[in-house]
Amino acid sequence: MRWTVVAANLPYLLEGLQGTVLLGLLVMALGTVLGFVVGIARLGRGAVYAAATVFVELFRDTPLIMQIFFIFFGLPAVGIRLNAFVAASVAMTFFAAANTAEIVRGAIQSLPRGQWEAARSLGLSSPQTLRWVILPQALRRTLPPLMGLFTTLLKDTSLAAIVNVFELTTAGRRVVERTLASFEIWLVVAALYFLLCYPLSVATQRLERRLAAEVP
Amino acid sequence: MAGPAQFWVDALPTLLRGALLTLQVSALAIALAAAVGVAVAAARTAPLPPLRWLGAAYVEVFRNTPLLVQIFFVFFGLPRVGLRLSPFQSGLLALSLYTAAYNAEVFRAGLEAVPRGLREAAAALGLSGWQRFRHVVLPVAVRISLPALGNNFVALVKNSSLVSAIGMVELTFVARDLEAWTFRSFEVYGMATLLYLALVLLLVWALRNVESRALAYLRVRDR
Amino acid sequence: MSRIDPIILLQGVHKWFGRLHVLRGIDLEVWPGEVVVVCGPSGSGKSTLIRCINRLERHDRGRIVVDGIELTDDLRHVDAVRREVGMVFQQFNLFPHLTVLQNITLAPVLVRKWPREQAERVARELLERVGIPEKADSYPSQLSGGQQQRVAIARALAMQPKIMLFDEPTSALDPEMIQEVLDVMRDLARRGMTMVVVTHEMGFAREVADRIVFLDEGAVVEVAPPETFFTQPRHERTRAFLSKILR
Repeated sequence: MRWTVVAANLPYLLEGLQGTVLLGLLVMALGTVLGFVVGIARLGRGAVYAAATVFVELFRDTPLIMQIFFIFFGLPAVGIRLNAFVAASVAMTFFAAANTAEIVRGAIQSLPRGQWEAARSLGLSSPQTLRWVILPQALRRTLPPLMGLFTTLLKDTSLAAIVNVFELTTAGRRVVERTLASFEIWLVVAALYFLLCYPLSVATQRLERRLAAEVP
Repeated sequence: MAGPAQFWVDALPTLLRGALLTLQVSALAIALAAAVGVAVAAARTAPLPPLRWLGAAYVEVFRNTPLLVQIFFVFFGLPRVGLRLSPFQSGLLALSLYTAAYNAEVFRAGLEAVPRGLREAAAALGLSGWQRFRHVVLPVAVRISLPALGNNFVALVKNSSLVSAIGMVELTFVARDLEAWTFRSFEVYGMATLLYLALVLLLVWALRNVESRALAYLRVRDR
Repeated sequence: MSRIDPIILLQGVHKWFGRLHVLRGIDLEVWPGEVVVVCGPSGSGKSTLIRCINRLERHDRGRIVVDGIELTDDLRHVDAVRREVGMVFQQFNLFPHLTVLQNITLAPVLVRKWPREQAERVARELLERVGIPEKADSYPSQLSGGQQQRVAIARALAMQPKIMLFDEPTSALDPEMIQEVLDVMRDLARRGMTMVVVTHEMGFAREVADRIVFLDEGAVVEVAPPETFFTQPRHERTRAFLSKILR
């Protein structure tokens, strides 16, 4: 084992880690916003519902890596050319949004029908009911699965390495290519991801338990 | 370059061969991940504290690091300590171990959801500890776990695409290869995506069949 | 004293749940062929008492001897006792993934090592006896509560136990289903089965029991044959209980 290689290259790996965090935060923020829009659209009817459903199924039922390839390599064929970072961000945002939309829909549908009926019978319109009665209750139920999704997204930023976006996995691969210390470097890369994801996992479990104790 | 019809005549069989390998590695990994998952769940609920810690550590390590890094570690890292695996073996191993961590959590929840009364009834009938687990607790827990387990298996099929990164010639790898030769990226990735969709829907359909058979006891109406 | 030994013997049995002292020195003998009804207010420890007899609960002090075998931490003794003691639960506890027939044959095949055909023949006879032979291939969820409890009785009887324990067997049932279960239990008593029954069904107790044990706050307050128990209870607490329950 050559652990000095690890020490020498740790600053470079940490630079990669910065890229991972940046990409992760970007995708979480954009994906959550878009996901709420799509999730609420799935409560609608007709074309709105159909479009939202196709979006969700397409991005949930196919591999993220295919989505990245499609946007990075495929879209130029129809004249849309994006650099690797933007392509990966867009693909991952859609992927995040599709999963967020399912979480939002699930949370809204888990509320008793009586909540809608009570609000509507008080004379509130559908959007008013959604805004003042349903969403405030549904929001807290989305939190634990949303945080779980964030952990998944953080791990999945590693896929950007396949189109050579500079982040932790790319940094790891470049160091391995240069030093051949594959065992040590991949172990350390895994450890860095763990340090990033594990606290988020623990926080998610805590929140789950706390909400489970509050909601009857 | 040949016309669109000729292109598909050439490309489709190649893609389908890739899809077949995706199916194979997924099927094997599903079986392995289920078996390892049961073992880890058993460890996590074992009476011996060191076993429980080991089980918990397994779950946390595999769930909080990217699958792609695990695949790289197995394929590129392990040869340095004397374990050299082919791309197929590496992919199968990493996919199985990764999914097993998620399965273990599902099984553990299933085991904990088995009503205490069922264990007591089995004990009162004189069944031994192993017989109680094998004939009452496990079958009930597996049935409780089935829907969540199905989600893990669907995720596994999608995750198998990452094995292309170490050169296993499955659907994603074939698509990249084809694209590099033909430059028809839109069509190739479009078709590959549809094939994944087909595989996933096939799996969902199969799981629904298994579920409806395994959960026959939930149908309240008399036969 | 009689030269027959009691088939169940409890001497000075104590049981704590944490700091809660639920059984406070129980002495009880049950003779072969006897039907003993255990009653008392909720929280009196009657369920715990009956669950100690097949060691679903472990007693902390005193002796429990069942069919000549003392219950200790020795698991072989526990297994030996459980083979001879059948139990019927308040919540039925049928195995949801097995059909009625599979529920009944599971233990005879696994524990008694009977051939499957023999186990199934006995199971069908028992289903006939509890009045639902046509339900052999149904799943528990397809049965009414009363039918499920009759299957649970058949399942316990399939092991050909010497003793049957009933832990509030009718408490989870809708009123119209209580009789069909009590009928099966009456029939069992007539055939000479040794039974210990925790129940609030005082009509059943008066008619079927040889002795009634009244338990309060973890101790045996009174033991008497039904006639004496209902007409001349000796203790104030028994009278208070009876006045509430018989109303």
